[in-house]
Amino acid sequence: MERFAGTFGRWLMTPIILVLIAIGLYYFLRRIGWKHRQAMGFSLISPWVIGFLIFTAFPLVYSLFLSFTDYNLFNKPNWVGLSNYKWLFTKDIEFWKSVKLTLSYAAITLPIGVIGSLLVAMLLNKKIKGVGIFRTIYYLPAVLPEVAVALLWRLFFNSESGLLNYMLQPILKLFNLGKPDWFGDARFVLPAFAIMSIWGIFGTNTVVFLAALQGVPRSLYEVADLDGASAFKKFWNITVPQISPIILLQIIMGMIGALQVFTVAMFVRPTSAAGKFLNQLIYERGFTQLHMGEASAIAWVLFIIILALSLLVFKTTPAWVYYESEGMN
Amino acid sequence: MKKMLTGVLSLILVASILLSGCSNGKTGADNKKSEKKEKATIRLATWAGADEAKELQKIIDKLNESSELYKIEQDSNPADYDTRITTQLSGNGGLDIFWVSAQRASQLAAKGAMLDITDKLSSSDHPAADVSDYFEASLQPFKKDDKLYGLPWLEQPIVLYINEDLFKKAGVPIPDDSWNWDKFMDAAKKLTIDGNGKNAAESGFNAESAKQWGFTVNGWPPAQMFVWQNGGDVIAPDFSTSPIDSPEAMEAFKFYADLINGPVVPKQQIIRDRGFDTMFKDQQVAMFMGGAADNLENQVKFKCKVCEVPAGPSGQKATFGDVLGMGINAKTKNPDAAFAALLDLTDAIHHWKVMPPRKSLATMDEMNKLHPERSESMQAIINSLEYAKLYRYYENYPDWDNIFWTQLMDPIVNNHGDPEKLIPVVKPQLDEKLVRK
Amino acid sequence: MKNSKGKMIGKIITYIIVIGLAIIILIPFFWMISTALKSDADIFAWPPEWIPRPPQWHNFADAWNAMPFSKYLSNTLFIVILGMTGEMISETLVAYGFARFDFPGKNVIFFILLSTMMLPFHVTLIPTFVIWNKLGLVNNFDPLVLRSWTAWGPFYIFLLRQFFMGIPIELDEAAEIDGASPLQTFYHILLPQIKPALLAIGVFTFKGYWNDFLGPMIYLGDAEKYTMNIGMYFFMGGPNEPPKWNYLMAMSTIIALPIIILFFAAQKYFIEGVTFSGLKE
Repeated sequence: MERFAGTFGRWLMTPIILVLIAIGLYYFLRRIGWKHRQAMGFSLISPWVIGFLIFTAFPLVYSLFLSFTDYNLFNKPNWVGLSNYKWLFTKDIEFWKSVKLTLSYAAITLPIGVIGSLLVAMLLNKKIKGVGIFRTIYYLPAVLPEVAVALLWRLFFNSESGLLNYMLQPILKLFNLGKPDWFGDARFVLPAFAIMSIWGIFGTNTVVFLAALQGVPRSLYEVADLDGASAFKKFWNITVPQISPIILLQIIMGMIGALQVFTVAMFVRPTSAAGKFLNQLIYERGFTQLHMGEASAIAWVLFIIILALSLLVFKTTPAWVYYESEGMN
Repeated sequence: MKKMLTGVLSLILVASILLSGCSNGKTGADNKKSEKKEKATIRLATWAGADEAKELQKIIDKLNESSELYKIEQDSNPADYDTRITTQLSGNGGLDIFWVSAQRASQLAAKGAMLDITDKLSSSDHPAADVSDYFEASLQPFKKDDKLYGLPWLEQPIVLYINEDLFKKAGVPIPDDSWNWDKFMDAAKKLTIDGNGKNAAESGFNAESAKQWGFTVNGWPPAQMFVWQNGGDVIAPDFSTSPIDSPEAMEAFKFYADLINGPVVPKQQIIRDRGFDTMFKDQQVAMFMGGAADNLENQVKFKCKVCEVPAGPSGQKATFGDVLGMGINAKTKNPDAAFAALLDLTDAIHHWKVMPPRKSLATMDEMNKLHPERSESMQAIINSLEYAKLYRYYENYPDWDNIFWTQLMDPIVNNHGDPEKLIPVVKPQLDEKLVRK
Repeated sequence: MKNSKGKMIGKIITYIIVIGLAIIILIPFFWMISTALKSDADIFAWPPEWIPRPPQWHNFADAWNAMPFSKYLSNTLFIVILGMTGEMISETLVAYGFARFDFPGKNVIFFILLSTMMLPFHVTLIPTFVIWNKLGLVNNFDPLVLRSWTAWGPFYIFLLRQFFMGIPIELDEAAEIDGASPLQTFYHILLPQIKPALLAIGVFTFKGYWNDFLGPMIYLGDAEKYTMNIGMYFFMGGPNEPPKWNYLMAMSTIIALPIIILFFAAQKYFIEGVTFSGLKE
């Protein structure tokens, strides 16, 4: 019980302090002319603002600062300018391999995830008996802890006696191939991760799409039916535009998730010949090699990549995303 | 309004004082403790698993009883040990002494995370504080600029464990002092037997149906050992270069690659799935290179003998010596108690594990006293200690090692990499890591 | 005529696929339990064994007793309870602020909040660690629970805001006329209206803290403070020791069980919670 005491005390103190700050903030804002409800509103969100400033905004700036330093956790950070970046881009052999691997992984798993979950959601959208039970089952994959999932994958992909190679036996025998060493052989690592991403179709993604689909007014389909539209036409001209904001959400979130693979990679331990994922690299450089500056630099590169890709996706949205508020043809 | 404001501000002031008081509370209590001249609680972190931790606790209990200065509390956590102690050491976690691998020691000592004990050692008469009694090589990872930051409690050379029963069955003579790579390969071939009973030296041998292998390797034993046996090196003594491209080193890497890809070693998949040392224990592998401390000969159900590892082609003997030690947190609040605990515990471990890195203890007499159950193996082990070498650790050794493994060894071990093609590419990459701070 | 036959076939195919996929989803769960019940020798049997004979039920107890999991359980519960409480209280209040109040910069701030969802956690990982380090709170539970009070779940804030905005403002106004303060309106009028959302968020946050691995791994150095996920790591073995698969799967089953049970119990509201956020405004 002793180990809880300190934290518990501080956990009790934190809201008290936050409330005091909120109250103080309220009076301060009123002082400078804000109306009652305005000041109240801001005070209400002040805990988030404080958390954001301390643990998001400041770390963001600080990590940028660290990326220009040489820092090993024990001594003071040491300014080195752009040399971390220079090193990463020109001399570090693991870096580009990691970028390539991470991007390839995202490029392969994102379409599988988005399209797959959309298709499955469409399947569940039909009038079937016991849709509730199926919805539950389809959500289950999200319930397992990441660690357990990663371990199950290790067993599944085990080359000697894993389920996958067992199921592939007939095909392997046909082509006279040996059992693939999924995580030991560099060639099979990406395909293995691609297969794993199929599992990710289920869970939250499918359910979110399902909800979006159920939000499309039936009347639109009925009108299309009257016009004799084919199933594909209905899908392309009604469904997709109607749920396009959600598709956008899934693409962005999926991309971010894919680029941040960590737990699975750590537990499955694929051969390093295939490269390491960027997040793994960050962790290793920072905590194993104690090159925190370098690790921060890699993290920022990852961040920029995500931003750039997101912006790219957003730029395409006028062509295919329709917002209800803007009206529709 | 003003009253409200001042009221609120003073509340915040009071709250922050309380909060800072909260976090200082613990240290306040500690200060009181040492003032009362009670035994200081010394927290020890180790990587011991459940069984080892139990044995260690017995030793600690004895030490705690007899000491007036300290009370050691064991905190054993094998998972991700290195990262854990790094975070604990960089924080104010209250860690006092900790087990540390040679590689980590040189890294942490260089970064100032470990306490400088040079002076404490020279002014102590404890037998374990006699620096000259230690094998010079074993102290290397704990030294920086001629100052000592920790003490080793183990140096174990790699030895060759053989399954005598399988040797007899195959009609292969037990290894002797004349064993070199060639004789080793000969024996390994004769000990690799396929489904039809043919061994790898005979024609008609079918590698696919092998049921027993002469040897096993999966990155362990380290290739460096073979390089040394052939007279080469992977890091120059002055750290100026990584001479993996010297003809001696090249030959050694090729020998290593041939071992892995040849018939005498099981496929890496099989090793991964069935377990590296499990296969030796299950008698599927006839020869196994492991640490002297592994004590395999007393764990297996067959007749197992400990021999020295084969020498290189020209008869040069070399083996890898793994060093493990202990250090004191530079931020410890009880340096004197921690030092006393360090000495006593180190000495105790010297008498517990094989082999102590001390000249006075690493003799046949002492070892026979301490480990009678291993008396047959002792000669081989003590001999091995004579020519055991460590890696050349330095501050950024993990960086170098990372490249060495991911760019050279992993491809060789897991992907049929060709040393001749890989080495010219990897050498400059390794050199970079030597130069870079 | 043709139409209804086609429809029938269509329906049958749909059912087949849906059930087929459901089976595929359930296979890993089945396999997890199956592996947990195997003895060491059976785990890598070829061909793979579906039902171990005989099932080693004692593996569950053995795995639990192999490490101090009771202690790890209380550690995990400690984190979960403190985290959930802090988050639910702070996030509902913050969402209320965004939903019902107008103030200068509100939209900008909300946009920033949304964009933090896109931030990869590794960019802030190291500085956050350094901050906690300087505060002397590394190797403690604090980094895992204190921030719950600062509403660190942007997704939940977003969700709650949507729900609040779905409640007619007339209810608030009526309460105001009756003399209720904003906080009273919040507690007596709004909160009861969004019970499904609260339940959903409760289950989500529970899952988040219960399953968290990275946080405890980085911040909990003491074996005393391990959570169940970290404790399970012990069975992973080392460089020369293969993992103890049956124990790993047994513990995974045990760890997954509470969530599955919780989920089944709150299922209806749960899905509603997820789906509502997906709906357009």
